Amino acid sequence: MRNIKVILSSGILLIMAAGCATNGVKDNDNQYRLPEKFNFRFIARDVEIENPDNDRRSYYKVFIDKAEEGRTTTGLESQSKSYEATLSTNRHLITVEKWVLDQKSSRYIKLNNIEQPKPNFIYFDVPEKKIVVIEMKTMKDGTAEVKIDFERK
Amino acid sequence: MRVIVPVICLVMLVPMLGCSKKGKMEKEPNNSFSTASDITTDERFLGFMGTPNDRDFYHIRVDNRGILNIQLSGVKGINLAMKIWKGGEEPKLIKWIDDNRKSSPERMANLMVTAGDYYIEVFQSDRDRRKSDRENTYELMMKSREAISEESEPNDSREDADTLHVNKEITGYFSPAYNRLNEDRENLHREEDWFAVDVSLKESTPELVDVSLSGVSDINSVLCLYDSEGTEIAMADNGGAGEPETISGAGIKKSGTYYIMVASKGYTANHEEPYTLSAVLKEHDSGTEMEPNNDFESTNNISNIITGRINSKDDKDIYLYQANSGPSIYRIELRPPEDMDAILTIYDSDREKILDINSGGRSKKEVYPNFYAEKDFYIAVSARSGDKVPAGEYIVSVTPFKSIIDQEREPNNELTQANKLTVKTITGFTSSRGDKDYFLIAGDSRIKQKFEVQGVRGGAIKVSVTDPLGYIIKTLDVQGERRVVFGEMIDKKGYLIIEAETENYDNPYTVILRGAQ
Repeated sequence: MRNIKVILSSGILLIMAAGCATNGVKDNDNQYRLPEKFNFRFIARDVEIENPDNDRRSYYKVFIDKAEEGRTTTGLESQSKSYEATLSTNRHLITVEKWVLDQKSSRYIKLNNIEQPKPNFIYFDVPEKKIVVIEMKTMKDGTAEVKIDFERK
Repeated sequence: MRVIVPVICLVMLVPMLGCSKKGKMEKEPNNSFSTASDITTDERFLGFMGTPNDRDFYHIRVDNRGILNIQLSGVKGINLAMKIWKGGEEPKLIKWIDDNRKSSPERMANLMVTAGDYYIEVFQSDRDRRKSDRENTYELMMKSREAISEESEPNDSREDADTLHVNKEITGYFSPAYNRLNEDRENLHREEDWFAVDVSLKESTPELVDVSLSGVSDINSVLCLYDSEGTEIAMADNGGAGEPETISGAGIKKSGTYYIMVASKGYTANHEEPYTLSAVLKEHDSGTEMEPNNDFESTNNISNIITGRINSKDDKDIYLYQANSGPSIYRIELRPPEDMDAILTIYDSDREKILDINSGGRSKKEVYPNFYAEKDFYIAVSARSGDKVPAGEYIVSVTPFKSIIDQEREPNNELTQANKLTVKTITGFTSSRGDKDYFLIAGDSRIKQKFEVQGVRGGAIKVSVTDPLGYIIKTLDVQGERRVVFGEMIDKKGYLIIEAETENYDNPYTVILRGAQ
């Protein structure tokens, strides 16, 4: 039920963002940063981590339109980790996969599906002359809040 | 009458039993040099230990140089010992024979005598309770023989060393078992035979000496070679009981007197079977090891190739490679004989150990395919402990690479030793068992780097890319010489790790950075 709410809220935000984007170009073009090296940024972090012992080093593997395109930077779960790319002007699907550091083996391992953020996918539009920023905050129980915006100056 | 006859017989029988041993009887008192009983060789002499502290002295006058085999029989319940003195007015103690406990005989197989007076003192050892026995005689017997190329006992110390001529043999005996006059703490009472070898080098060119000691039944022997100052050059203690010992290729760097010491381990004796000892000199060339080279102070130089031998279980041969032409990468190869499980150890110019290589096993070569050195370095060769001493020779070769550009530089086995990748192509080797090669990739921006890896022919590697801290993000297996292309994000800094799954020391791997995807 909560997941449905998240998806709905994400959808509403997406529509609003898309609407803003359409209007923004016409209404106030100056307030958004123009793309240079990339036009898409994904930022992810965990919230509600109270014990530093549980704050693991992690990153997200990023799939765009079902193709593995790269990964975010690495950092503690509580830290913002980002991935940038240049995408075509179109509607896209981003899917993420969370990996955490296994200290014993000194390598990152993929979290079990049950521990992956929910939802771990987002549909979004990339307009011209704007940088789409998707920010994902994952709660203690694994639910993810997604905010889509354009990068401002 | 019936009673008298057996009594008479019994009376006659008693002295006969007492004198069951045939020989001349000692004449008491003979408790000092001045009252010593005169005896001769090749005759039996009988005596009693009349009191617990009885001392029987015997005097023998020797006219010619020869060898005496001295035997003293055992007396039940009595622990007999012998001292041998040389000289007329002030006799000097030259041998103290006290090998066995009570009831047992004593023997010395080969006392060298020259014209003069000798005394033999028979007494009771303090290792058993001393007793008197007026009924049972001991028997002293000395057999003489001509000395032909035989050791001259007593030769129990370096000062009393017998002469051994190079390229000639000499015989000797592990007799007696103990030398009670040897007060050396480390080898207390060890019976040692010392030999002096005079060496005169031609034009001061170093030579090698091989010292061989034959095996003697039941004797586990030890063989040592010392220089004129008494410093040990080489030691052989490899064989067991009845087996020979050999020192091979010991270096003779200057003319002078060298000393050989022969001893048995565990205070064992063999009075019947002699040993044979020889020292053979041979020419030395720079391609042959010269002992001693067991430490950094006595290394042999290696220019390209050298042949050597492990002489004892603890033997370690150290070679110095002088890197006169500056930094380079070297292929270091050790080819052992069939019976050797070789260990190759590399030390840097500061004599810090870099690594041990013992990957091949018995009779298999050990290789460091690409050792990078800016300065001189040391190579040590040893055999895996527990193995028997190898009989054959090993060969060490050092071959510098023609070009060191685009080559991995060992040691790069951990993060802090990572080779920084400044070129697009790098070639490396799986240099040791489980070898890990670290390469640092550093840039100004975060990019998705495209990698192309060509694997190792006849081997297998694991290729990993890490985050900036060295934690592995991605790993791929590359079997044989397969070519693999993949991309991975590099967050300005990351490491490429090549890990040996199946080593091959002859063929390299290649990594090409194809740039940002």
